[in-house]
Formats: sequence, structure tokens, C-alpha cells
Amino acid sequence: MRLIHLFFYCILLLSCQTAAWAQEGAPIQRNFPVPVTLSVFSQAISLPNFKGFFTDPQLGIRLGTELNYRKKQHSQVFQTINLAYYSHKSLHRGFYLSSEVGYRKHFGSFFLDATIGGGYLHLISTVPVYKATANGDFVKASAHFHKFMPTLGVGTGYRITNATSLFARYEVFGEMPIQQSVPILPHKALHVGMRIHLPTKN
Amino acid sequence: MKTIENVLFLLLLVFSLVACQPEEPVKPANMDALPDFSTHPKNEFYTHELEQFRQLNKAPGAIMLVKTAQDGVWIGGSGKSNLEYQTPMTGAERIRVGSITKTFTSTIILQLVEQGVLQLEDNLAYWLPQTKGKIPQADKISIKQLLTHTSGIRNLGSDNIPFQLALINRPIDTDLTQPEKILEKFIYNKPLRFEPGADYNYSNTGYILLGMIAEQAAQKPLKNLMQDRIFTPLQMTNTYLEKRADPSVVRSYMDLYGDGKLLDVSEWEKVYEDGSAAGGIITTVLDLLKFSEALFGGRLLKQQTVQEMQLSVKLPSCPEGDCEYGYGLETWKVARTIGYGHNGGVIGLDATWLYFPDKQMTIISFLNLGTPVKKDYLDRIIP
Repeated sequence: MRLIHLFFYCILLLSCQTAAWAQEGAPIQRNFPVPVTLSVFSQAISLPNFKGFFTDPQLGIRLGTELNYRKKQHSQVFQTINLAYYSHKSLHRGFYLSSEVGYRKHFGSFFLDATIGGGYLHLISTVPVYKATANGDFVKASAHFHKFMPTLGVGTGYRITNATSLFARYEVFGEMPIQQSVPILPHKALHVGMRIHLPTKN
Repeated sequence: MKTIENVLFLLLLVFSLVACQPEEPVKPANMDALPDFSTHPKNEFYTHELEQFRQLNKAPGAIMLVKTAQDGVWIGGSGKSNLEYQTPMTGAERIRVGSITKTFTSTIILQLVEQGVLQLEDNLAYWLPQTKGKIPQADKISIKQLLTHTSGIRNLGSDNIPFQLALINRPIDTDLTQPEKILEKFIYNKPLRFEPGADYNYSNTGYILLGMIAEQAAQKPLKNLMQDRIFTPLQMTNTYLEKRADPSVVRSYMDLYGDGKLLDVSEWEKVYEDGSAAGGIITTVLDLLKFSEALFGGRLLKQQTVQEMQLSVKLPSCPEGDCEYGYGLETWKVARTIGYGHNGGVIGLDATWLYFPDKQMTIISFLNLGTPVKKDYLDRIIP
């Protein structure tokens, strides 16, 4: 819970600061057109559903950016690049570097978007790991695992100022490969976060 | 600058979390040593078979018990019981036996039937009224159908994907000693797999419900019923049905990612299944032998009841019409003979207990690895 409080404190701070820049009249997006996204998320190993995100949440934090490929007045096609960390108490801690392509539709200050992508997922087991030796004994092994993670997501948000948006995202991602009989270990994640356009010095 | 400082602070926090080390298993406690079996006439043969059994299944450790009328008891251990401390497996350790617990639960139920407290034809809703309207046809599902896995109630096991994922996600959410919570989450208001009695589908849920029925009928917790009616009379001093911080229990391992690396999943098993009516007994192979001999020797149930336990369900949908399961007892057709007992497979273990009446032979095997297990040794060991 401390992480959530810290996150919301930061969101509030950043919102105030970017609102202040906007009021100063600086053309922020033109100065620095690549936005920064920051979100905190609750994730779980589960089939896709909306249950259990708030009961003893397994939290993560994600930092990313977006590249715009086509921007019209009410829609845009974009690509995300994300770096994230999450903690899954009984199993592992996960880092991932992912990228998604997405489509976003604007309705005034509101927007809806959908993304699809993939990435590299680095897992550090929270339980001890062992491996077999040639003679059939077992010794301590590295707790690090390397996985591919496919992702799918939908999101919605609200543009507070020209430079700042708040958003919520529902995302499913997987761990691959797992076992021969199990093609993917599915996760679900619910993000809340903000997108800001950082100003550059002129 | 403050913005950047805040982001950097968050990143620093994240990296400090990452630096934490994995949990370390507790140092194992010593159990009383077993007698020396090196002079047993088949010591060399059994030792070889045990080692082969472990190596073939790529398990960290294995235990085997063989008892015949001619040669008496032999117990052996191979590999390690605890990889963190490289503790040798001796065969004396406490082990989780998973679904072998079902035979204990069915024994309690059948004792209550013999005493006239329960009837095999009693329906689920009669003893557990809270299931009415939540489990379809609860007023038609009989205790007999729960015992023989023919109730149609969905399983809480490997064929229930939401349950399996919940177990990996957060084992406490699948704690089978909290049956009402689990039933509410995974079973209530779900359709049956088939009409009660029409088919066979192995169901942990059925035995969890049987545990609840036994508690309701006898007005005692199941762990106390087992203690009073089985463990204490048989002097099974290393056996219990509850969650304990017990360092003498063999650690359990699982190849979760299919890459040969084993994860220590002992804590998952403890949280998920220890203490449950479907698979929560902790025991030793020697204690399990005491149970086996008492059960088949007619000291826990009448001989007629034991014979009824062994009668497997016959349904056209089962292979060759034989479902090979009676009242909490599996039928194993191996080495041109028939054995009765049970298999127990949890996340990180596999246990098998079989009694072959024709041969007067008992075999118990255990691996501390959750995997589909090859049991070729049965064909060679059974004469």
C-alpha cells in the first residue's frame, strides 16, 4: 500500500507541475512531442477477468513512452515502449521491456485505446531454484528466467490539460514458454497512470 | 528537475525491491533413524530399483517401502529430502501423501456408516443444507456418489484451469481447509459435469464435501476424527491432518517452466492442501503401512465394508467399463495381479500406496517431484 500512496503522491505532484506549465502558455507538445507514461498496476496470474485486483494486490510500476505514427484530429496510431517491474510474492519478481502498437480514439477530452504487442520478460524466482547435475544430483541454480511475453490491452483516459492525461488500462500478458502441455501462463493487469509531455529548455 | 528526481526516486525504490533474495527453506529436523535393512534378503535389488525409480523420473529424492509375508519390511531412501541443505533421504521422513488422504476420509465416512450415523444413500443437501441451490441437484447427489467420483461435481484440481491458476497466483486463495470459501469461489453455482451417477470424474471437491459431512455428522473437526479413530489407535505417531510448521517434512519440487530447473514449492503445498480431506495428510511410510495393515486387516472397518470399498465402479464410459475406483480405493491392475490403494499427486510430489492381497504384499513409493511418474518398478518388484 505504501507504493500506491507514493505513486499517487507523485501523480499529484506531476499533475500540478504540468498544469502550471500549461498555464504559463508554453507549447509543451511542440517542445517535447514524445510523452512519458507512468503507471502503477495490480497484476495476477489468471484467465482474463476483472476479479481480485484490489485484494492483497501484487503491484508493479511501469515507465514508458509513445511514438506517434499517424495522428488525426480524433484518432491516432501509436507505438509504446515500456519498462516495468512487478512483484509476485509467491512466485517471482518480473521485469519487462515491451512494445505495443495501438489505436486511440478521442472523444473530446476522453479517449479509448487498444494495443497489441510483446516483449522480453525477465523473472527472478522468489522461491529457491535447483538444477540437476550430470550424475543426477541437484544443486542451487540461478533464480533468473527469460520469457517472451505477448500482450493485449485496452484503455481509457481523460486529458486534463494539453500536456497531461490520466488513464486506466486493462492488460493481459503471458509467460512463454512454460511447459509442453501448457502453452502460456496468463497474467492480467490493471494500470492507473498518467501521460505527460515533459517540457524541454528553449 | 523535481519531476526527474521523483521518477528517479521511484526507480530507486523499484531496484531496492528487486535486490531482495529468495526465501530460504527451513533447516530439516532429524527423525528417528530406521532399522538397518542392509541384511534384508532383497536389499540390493530394492535399493537398485529405488535408485532407478528416482533417476528415471529425475526427482531429487525418493522413498520406497516393500513388505512381503516372506521377507518382511524393507524401507529405503534415495537422493535428497531437502536440496537447500543437501539432506539425504533416509525413508524415515514425514511426507505429504496427497490424495492417499482420500482413503482415510472414506474410512471415517464408512465408520460413521457402520455406526448408523450416516447412510451411503444420504444426499448432500441433507447433511450440508448450504449446498442446496448452489450445487445443482444437491438433494440427489449421494454420499456413495461422492465416494466414487460419480457425483458430477467439478474437480478442484488439474482439470480446473481457474483453480490451477489461482493456486499459482496466490496459494492462500486455494486453501482447501477453508472449504466454504473455496466452494463459493470455484464450485457454487457452476453446472455439474454430468448427471449424478451417470459418469465418472475424479473430484477432490467430492472428498472436501465428504470431510464436511463427516464433521457435521460427528460434530467434530475431521483432524480430530482421524486422530481419535485412526492415528491414535494405530499408534501412527508421525501422522497428522493439519497445517504445521514442521521442518521434518520432505521438501517438494516442481519443474514449473519445463526447463529442468526445479522450484521449491513446499510452501504452496502447505498452504493449499495440508490439512484437507482430499489430500492433506502428513505421515511416514511406516505409519502408512500401519494404516494399510489395519484397514485390510479389518481393524478399522468390518471386512465386509473393506470388500465393498474395493468394488470399483462399473460404467460404460470408463475404459473397458471399469472405472477402477471404489469407496476411496483405487484398483491397480499390474504385473498380472490386482492391487488396492491410492495414488497421491500434488504440486511437488507423487506418492503411491498399494496392497496386493493375492501376494500379501504392500508397496509404498514416494517422489518429491510433481511430474507424471513412471512406475515400471512395480512390474519388476511384484513376483
